[in-house]
Amino acid sequence: MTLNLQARTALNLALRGLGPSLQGEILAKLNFGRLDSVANGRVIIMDWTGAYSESAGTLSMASTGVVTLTNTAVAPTVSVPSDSGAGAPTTTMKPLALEVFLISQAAVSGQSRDAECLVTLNKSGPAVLASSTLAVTAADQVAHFHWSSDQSAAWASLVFSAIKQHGCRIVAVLMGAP
Amino acid sequence: MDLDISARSSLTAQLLDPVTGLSGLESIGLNFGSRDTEPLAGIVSLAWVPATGKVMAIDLSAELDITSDTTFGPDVQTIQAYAGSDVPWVQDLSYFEVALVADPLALDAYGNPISASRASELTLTIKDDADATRGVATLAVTRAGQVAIYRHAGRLPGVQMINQIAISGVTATPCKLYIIFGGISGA
Repeated sequence: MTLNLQARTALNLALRGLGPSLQGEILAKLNFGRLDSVANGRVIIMDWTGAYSESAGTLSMASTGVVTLTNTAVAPTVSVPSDSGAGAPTTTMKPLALEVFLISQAAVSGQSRDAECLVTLNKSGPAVLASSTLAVTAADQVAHFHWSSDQSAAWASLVFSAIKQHGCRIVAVLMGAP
Repeated sequence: MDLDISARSSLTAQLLDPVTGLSGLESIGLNFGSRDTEPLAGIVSLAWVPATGKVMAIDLSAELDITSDTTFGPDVQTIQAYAGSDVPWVQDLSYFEVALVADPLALDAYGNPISASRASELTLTIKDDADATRGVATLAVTRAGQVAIYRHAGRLPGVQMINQIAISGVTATPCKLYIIFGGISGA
């Protein structure tokens, strides 16, 4: 189970603003495990770069779109580049793999680069499928979270909470099956 | 930050498919990152054979004190550990990975796979040294050879450190659990 060409191209575009070495590192880390029972993958790519802020922000997504933005005026870019099964692209799926990258931006005089984020993937209930706490402490770092698991429930929400918005960018790739 | 050749060879040997002799588990133990973490002082890999209802917890602040159901203690194997006299994960656990791997199917006398369930599931909980939960996940596999993975690369916020990795809620058919973690050396 891996990204198809269309999804990988979309991800490459999403990462375009990063330096070549960061792009290479992120692409090298993409690893969706070995869930070979899945044939028709669906992909959602979220790309968010918040304004520098002292307030903790929250960003929440569901299969219907972005549902919550707290303490951040910057909405994420959400793309659905691939539905390799039949029909139009859709955000409805059972999630089988999630990659989240918390990336600190280049150094700017007078700004810190100690960004943080709690990422939580829920299924209906709601019940937590996976969560992790990511942090970076200096410019141009990448913290990475990967989850892959075979299960049958549909995803309900993907929540990024307690975002310490000190010059960070979050790129998430959620992949699953119909 | 990467496995050295000795650790890589040892880990690869542990991950060989006993039926086919092939690795097939390339997704485990790779992608150790680079610029996101400091060079590792030590990497430890464990293998555990889960069974339904069993639990396991690894206390990282107590020099890798593994608490497992007693009947399952011997099945915890240290694949590779090198860290000198230091205990790196006490200072800063920068990387860890938990992988649930469904066993391959057994073969009959004619070499054909024998149909059997390979559905397994467990819950993973990660806590910091203030006993706050920093990560939770369900890992599940349904078919032979499948791998479910939880991977974290990077520090925790502030001064908190990952202190405990606990496994519970186990429903298991033949499978193995691999836990790989590493950290930087302390003072």
